[in-house]
Amino acid sequence: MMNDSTATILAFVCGLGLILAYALRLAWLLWRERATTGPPGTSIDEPALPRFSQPTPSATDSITTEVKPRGKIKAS
Amino acid sequence: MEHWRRSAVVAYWGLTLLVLVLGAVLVVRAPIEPSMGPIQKLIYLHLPVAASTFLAALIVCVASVGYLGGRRKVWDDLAHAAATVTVLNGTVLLVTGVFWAKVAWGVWWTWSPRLTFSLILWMLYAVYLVLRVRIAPPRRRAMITSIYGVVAFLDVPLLYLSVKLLPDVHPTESGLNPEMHAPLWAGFAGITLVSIGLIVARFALARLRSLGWDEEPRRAAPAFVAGGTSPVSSSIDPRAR
Repeated sequence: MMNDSTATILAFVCGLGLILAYALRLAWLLWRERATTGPPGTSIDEPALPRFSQPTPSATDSITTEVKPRGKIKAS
Repeated sequence: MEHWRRSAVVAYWGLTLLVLVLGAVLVVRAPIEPSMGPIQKLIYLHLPVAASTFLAALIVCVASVGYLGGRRKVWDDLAHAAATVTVLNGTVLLVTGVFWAKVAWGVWWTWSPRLTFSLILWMLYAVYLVLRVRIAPPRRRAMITSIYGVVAFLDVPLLYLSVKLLPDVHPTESGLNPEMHAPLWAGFAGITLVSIGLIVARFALARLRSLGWDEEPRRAAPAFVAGGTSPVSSSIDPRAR
């Protein structure tokens, strides 16, 4: 049988422990999120990216480097 | 700006910790109520947590109304953050309540109106969080949970009125002598500061993740480069601002 003092201490420990556990988990998630998805250039995991991406070289190549032969090619 | 933000966060949590330590000292030094014994000291945690649960539920309701009025994701994020803290505080409320019930009434649980409405409140907001996980499309999720958040708040006045209108074994008055007021107010201040701090922190986490619709143009890959549709269509929606 649990006495009054034990019940009181257990209730305080459980209640405040739950809040503390959630607060610590939240602090950890915030720290991790700031480390990975912070402002451009501040991330430790990914390099800074331009805000508006330019067309990739391959896309440009497919438009501008296509050469069409002029005139007729004579078969020899 | 970043420096000021960090300083404000440190100052806020420093003050919160100070108030909590002061509250703990006052609770230890508070006189033991003769008829109930040491378990009466649980009121210094149980009552503030109940008030913070109602406060967080009210924030969910207000933020949900805000979302329904303007369709801005910031309201949805705030409602989500407050709902999380409502469930947390509701859990602490129920846990401290069952210890109280065991010592005061000899049973862990009894289906009195106040206890039943408290359990329903906890379940309502737990379901709110489950809904957020289960509904994938962000706009649809925000709309459904906003309506749900407003309806769920109706349990709070029911919980309050149940004590006034229905017979209940749960005490309706604290019956504290003047020496017990200081630890109770310190408990209110400490738990309220913690709850507001946790809501703000959870809200900040949601804004950092920013996986919703109004961040799509900023974070998504440029679809026009890959040959898809223009991302401009989602950025000109005035309701998403």
